Amino acid sequence: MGEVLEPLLISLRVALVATALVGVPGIYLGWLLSRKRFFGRAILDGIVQLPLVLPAVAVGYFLLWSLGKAGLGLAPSLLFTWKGATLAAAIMALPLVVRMAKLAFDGVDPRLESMGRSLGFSPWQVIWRVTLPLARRGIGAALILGFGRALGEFGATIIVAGMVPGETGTLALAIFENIQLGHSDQAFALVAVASAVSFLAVAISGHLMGDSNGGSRNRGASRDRGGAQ
Amino acid sequence: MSTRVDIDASLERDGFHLDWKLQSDAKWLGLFGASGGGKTTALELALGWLRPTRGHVRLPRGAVGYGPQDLLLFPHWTVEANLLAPGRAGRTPKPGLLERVVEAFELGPLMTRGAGQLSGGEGRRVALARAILAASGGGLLVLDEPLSSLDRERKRRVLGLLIELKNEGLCTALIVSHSAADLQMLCDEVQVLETSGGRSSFGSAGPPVDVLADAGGFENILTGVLTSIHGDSGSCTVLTQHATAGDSGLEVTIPGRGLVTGDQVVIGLRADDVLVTLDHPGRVSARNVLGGKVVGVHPLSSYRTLEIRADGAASSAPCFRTHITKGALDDLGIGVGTPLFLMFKTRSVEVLAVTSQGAPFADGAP
Repeated sequence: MGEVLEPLLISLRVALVATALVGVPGIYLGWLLSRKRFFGRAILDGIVQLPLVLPAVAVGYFLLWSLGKAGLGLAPSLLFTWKGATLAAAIMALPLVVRMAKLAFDGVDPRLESMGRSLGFSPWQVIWRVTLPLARRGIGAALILGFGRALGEFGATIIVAGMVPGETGTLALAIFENIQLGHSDQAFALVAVASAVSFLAVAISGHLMGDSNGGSRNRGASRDRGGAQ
Repeated sequence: MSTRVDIDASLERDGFHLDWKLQSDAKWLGLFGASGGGKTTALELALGWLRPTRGHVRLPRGAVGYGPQDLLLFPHWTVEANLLAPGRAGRTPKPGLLERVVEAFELGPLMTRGAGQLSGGEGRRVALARAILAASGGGLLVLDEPLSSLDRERKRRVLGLLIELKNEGLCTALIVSHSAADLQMLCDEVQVLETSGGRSSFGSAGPPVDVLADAGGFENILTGVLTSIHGDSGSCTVLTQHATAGDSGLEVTIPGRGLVTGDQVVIGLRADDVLVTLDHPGRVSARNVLGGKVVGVHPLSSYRTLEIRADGAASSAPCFRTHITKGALDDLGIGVGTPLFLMFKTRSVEVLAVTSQGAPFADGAP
């Protein structure tokens, strides 16, 4: 049992902390890309989306090079610790959070924000009282999908954190190791646990996204802008 | 010379072109024109929601209450929270106004409802109420077709409240409408939007009666107090305002449906519905026969507009206007100073706005 529970707990810790790390910056970047037109927007978008298409191993190698003494040496102490695994998972989860958060903000009618400003709200009040509450379901879905992505992360983690049992042995790494060692029963049990947790995350996220159609019902009103040009 | 409103701007967008020039000191301004011509675009230029491609838009700065066609209520808040939104932003509405608006717009039962769950007409009333509350501290009220999709009785009450706001000087306004009559009642100056081949521009601003003469408005708009309701005919008598001491005002019989004694009403009468006779018509079906004297004759294409001061009307009261052909004018030998009789039917009179003095707007008239 411990062989299953330990990787599960490590995975949950890594994924939760990774989600916490990318939550605010991911939502902010999503808002920025949805609402602002600025110089270098396309480049920022590209950099943020890169981990989505790049092989995870390549991202892991880039991280290893950035952190380790052989490269930039930014934080060698993180390598082969759960913190390193968390960083790798966070970077892999960020593009998904940004993309989903951008979609959530795209679904908020910018004219409602203009109305908030006209009524006297400060830019911060507009964000807190109008934009974020209206995007909340989409943002929730973004965070849960980011969590799911962090939970399943393998390629970057194994490069940065290796397989240190009890420290970096996440579900994905434990499955890989058990397959390597021919422990198919344990591998199968781990796969079952990973599937259950992932399914839960996807189901919750799907529920939030589905219901967010209800939240954006107000957009229907903008369709009958009779004389609006 | 600087005016309150100084606009000289163009906007080019998606093959659509709008030119807008307006210099005015009027406190309540109207923009008139068919829908789809760019009036909404003009409003949002004025609000600063759209930036002009060229030129400038200068309006008095301050609080703004905007009632757009797409309502833009905050769907995640209750109706009450939407109405209190300006207050939360530090713009406390005039004391007592919230209650007045809630009563006039019949919002009481809606207050705790989610703003995302309202019908079209309910949402429109809430959006209007919010705009009024936001502008009521001397701000600018910006309304886009405020009375569309309201039924007739609600429309009268909303108009009544807007007229009260204007008379009390609580705000200035910029109002878009395709209804000439609405703008005639509310606005000091009106600009007409002209559209041809994807280019829209506003004509010169002027008093609504002149600018909207051919636009289906009312040449005669009177204000009065309902003094009595005649049970048998469903009509009632209005004592027109402008009556000064020793001056009784005029008694006019109007359709009484939905009105109660004591209501203040604004009534409209088209010049084409007013007949003139030199002799008293005697027994006639028209309920309104008023003696008067011609004080002005103005050419208007093939017609002449007669301005007639009714006997007993105060000198400050507006004259009645009627149209007659040049032939009729010559046959009857009418000129300035000619005494004559005005005649119009009860049913020619339209009750445009009602400000009931606390009386419920029930369909209580017999």
